[in-house]
Amino acid sequence: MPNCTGSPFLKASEPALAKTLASLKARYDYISVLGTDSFGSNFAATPGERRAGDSAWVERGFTFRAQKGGVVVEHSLNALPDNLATAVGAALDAAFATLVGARTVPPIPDEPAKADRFGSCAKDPFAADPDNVLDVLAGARKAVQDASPDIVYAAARAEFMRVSKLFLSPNRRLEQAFIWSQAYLVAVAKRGDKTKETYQSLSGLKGLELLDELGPLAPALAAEALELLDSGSIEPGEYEVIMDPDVTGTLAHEAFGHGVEMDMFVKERALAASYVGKPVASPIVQMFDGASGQEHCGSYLFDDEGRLATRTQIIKDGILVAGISDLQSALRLGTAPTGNGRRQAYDHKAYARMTNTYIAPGSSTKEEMLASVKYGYLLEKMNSGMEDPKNWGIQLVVLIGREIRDGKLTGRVVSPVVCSGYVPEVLSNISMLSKDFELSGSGYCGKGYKEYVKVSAGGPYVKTTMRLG
Amino acid sequence: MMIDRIIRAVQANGKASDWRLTETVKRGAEWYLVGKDLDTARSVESTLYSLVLYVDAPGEPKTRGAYTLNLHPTADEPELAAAVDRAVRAASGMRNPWYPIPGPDSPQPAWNEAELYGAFAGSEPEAAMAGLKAALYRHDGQDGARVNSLEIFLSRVRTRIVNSRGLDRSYTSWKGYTEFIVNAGSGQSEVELFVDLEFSSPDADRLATAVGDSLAQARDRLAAVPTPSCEGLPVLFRGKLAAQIYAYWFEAAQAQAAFDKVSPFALGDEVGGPGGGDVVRLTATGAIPGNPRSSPYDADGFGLKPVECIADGKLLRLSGALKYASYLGLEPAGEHPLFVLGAGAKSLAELQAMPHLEAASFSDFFVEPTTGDFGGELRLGYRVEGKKRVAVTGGSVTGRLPDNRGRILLSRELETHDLCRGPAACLVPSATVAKAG
Repeated sequence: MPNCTGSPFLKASEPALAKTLASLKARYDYISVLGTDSFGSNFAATPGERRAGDSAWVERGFTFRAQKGGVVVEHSLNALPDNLATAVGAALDAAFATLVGARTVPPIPDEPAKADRFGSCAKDPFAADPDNVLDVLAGARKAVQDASPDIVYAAARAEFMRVSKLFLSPNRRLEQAFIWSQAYLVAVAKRGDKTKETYQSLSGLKGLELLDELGPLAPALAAEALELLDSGSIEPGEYEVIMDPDVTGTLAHEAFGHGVEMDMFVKERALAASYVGKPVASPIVQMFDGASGQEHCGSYLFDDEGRLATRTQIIKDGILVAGISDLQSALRLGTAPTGNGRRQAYDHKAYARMTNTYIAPGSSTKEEMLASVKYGYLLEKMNSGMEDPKNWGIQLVVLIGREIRDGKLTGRVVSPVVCSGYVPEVLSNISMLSKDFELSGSGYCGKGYKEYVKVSAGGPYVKTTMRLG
Repeated sequence: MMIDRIIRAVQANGKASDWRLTETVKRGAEWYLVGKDLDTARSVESTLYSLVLYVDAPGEPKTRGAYTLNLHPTADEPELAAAVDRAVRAASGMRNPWYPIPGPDSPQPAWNEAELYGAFAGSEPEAAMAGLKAALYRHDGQDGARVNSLEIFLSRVRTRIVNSRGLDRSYTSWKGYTEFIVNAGSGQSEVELFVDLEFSSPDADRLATAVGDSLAQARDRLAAVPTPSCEGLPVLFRGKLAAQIYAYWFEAAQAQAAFDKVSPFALGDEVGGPGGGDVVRLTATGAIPGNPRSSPYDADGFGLKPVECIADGKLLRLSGALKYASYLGLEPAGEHPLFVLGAGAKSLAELQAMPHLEAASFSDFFVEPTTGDFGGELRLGYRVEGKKRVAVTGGSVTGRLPDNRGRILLSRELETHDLCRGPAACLVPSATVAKAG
């Protein structure tokens, strides 16, 4: 089992970084640096070609953070000039000059800490023969497309990333390296002027072994694409719904994940700030976020501000109990940082961000849940979601709604379905949770329409009511 | 120079049939504000190298594979050599149909930095930040609505593209982006709207107007009633929402979509039809003043000249990388980042005179380019009948563009959006509105 070792580049850079910190330490009240060296590859097989290249998540660079008189500034760069301390000091000083009279933050703590974590996977994706990877993708893709002449396009993609980070401050040294992978099968079916697209995805802190799971997904994906060609539109209205674990995860993520990112509390953008300690969901709902406690795409040892990962229970027995925070928000709010300060890359700002976000499983079976629905829909296959932390609206777009009447699936399918509602109502109406539990990390999370970070989300099947249109 | 070191590594390897190297030098300034106060500032200096290695396989028919490396300026010679070797090995087995890369005689469009970027040209990003802030806050507090928080990003990007065929192209571009939250009301009844805007010139009036319009919308959302039944009403989309609708036609004019057989239209097809809608006329272009996606060249370094893709409602030409043009046997056009959509016959006022639901802001509006499905949860809309205009919120709008083929009305007035210059609004006759509550 190959272990994921730390980045040789970061190790080689450490003396220069440490020397720079030592040189600048006296000038500022606080100084730290985050170094990243993340490497990865993309592979794709489409009907007419094979493609490969480095992943868009590839990055290598440094962010220096300094605090003086309560003001915090940062400078990011991806070079290591001989005069690093002079160059970084000049850039930080220029930023401080800009910020005269700016908002201040309590002193950033620099408690001593030394830790590292190096992940592992069963099959090292970076030792694999690229032709073999592309052959697996091409085979899975072909199996989908060959299922029917109505399937006009099928593609398979895989991405493998090795994330390496080093955090240094005068009192802290943290290092981590781990691998995450994801794969997609996509199908487009067409009949007349009707075109439908759907997908299957895989993800996890895994290596090449993820591809072993791809081929078996092909028959179900082909069947689903063809089924969608016969889909209709939903009659808008409020329905009983059962969400699959993927949709459940996105509900948790959008409903009370973004809503409890505590930089939103600082900006007074989050209605949740005034609901801490109050009921916001059905008493059977337990909701968590944490880079520790689950092993998935949102897991890590430390965040991009050098804080160790934790697990936060956001909703306990239906009561909102806590939010998730980056370091500066926690300092301003007087709360403990939760290790959720994350950057899209070294050259982006850290914000309070989710990691692995989920609703804990319950005691029902999916069959019991279906049997309990008089008229509603089973919602499957997440497409997109969006938060509304101030006004607690929610939007979930799912690709598949399966009609349920008198406790049974009728076979009628609607697509796509826009699910909306008032977050506390949707969560308070949760009446059943299945015993199942699945996390999915094949997507990513944005803050607004930027700052994308890798996360996972999931949970059990959930029964509630939502407006569908 | 890093460019020379990378080229030497490629030449030392000796197995690449062709290569393309893109150097991107970015200098950026970022301001983060809460209320009117600066919360923090960041500066970014980075240089990135994107190296595409093409490997041709022996035999007939000719085949080609390619692998794109992202290289860092801190890479040393052994690392560069290893990366090149890795890419060559990956490209060697692909055996896709062969395609050319542009040479030194490929088109070189005029690129007038001063015309495209105004006073940004020749300056440093930091120098513009205070002026941008002043413009964005010009209308703050107007009639009780205010900016809750705001972020400004401005970067100057110097790009150089060189390849093994002797092509060498350089240009400078500016990319500005702001996102802001506007609030109206107070306490538990306070409402907010999220707005983002791309820009590439210090057009203070445009920035100020964008914030001012958003403040007005926040006030309207405060007074909005739950979206009622709107059965049978067409939906009017404005601004960037309208541009997302137009992008359906632009996506249909992409060579890659045609090659993948996922485009809803084939060359020669009518994209509209006899439904009483405006005739679609779409030209792919590389540059639109004020738009930060503007570029004189595509990723291959192929010079971008305007290409009339949809004329009189008929798909006649495709925009796309040289590779896909070659695959399809088409005249190369390059892959354009932007498009211009022709005006409609009716004025915006005439469109607004019809009973309709105007969609002003969604949680996350989507238009799927392959299926033509569109929709989103409505954060703010206006139900308009005659002179009665009622702000509404909640519920959702969904529909299919194929159901509206040939029936969409475009406004006569044009605006610059994130993706295009096109009609300020469009009226989509067939959509389902789910009422709120």
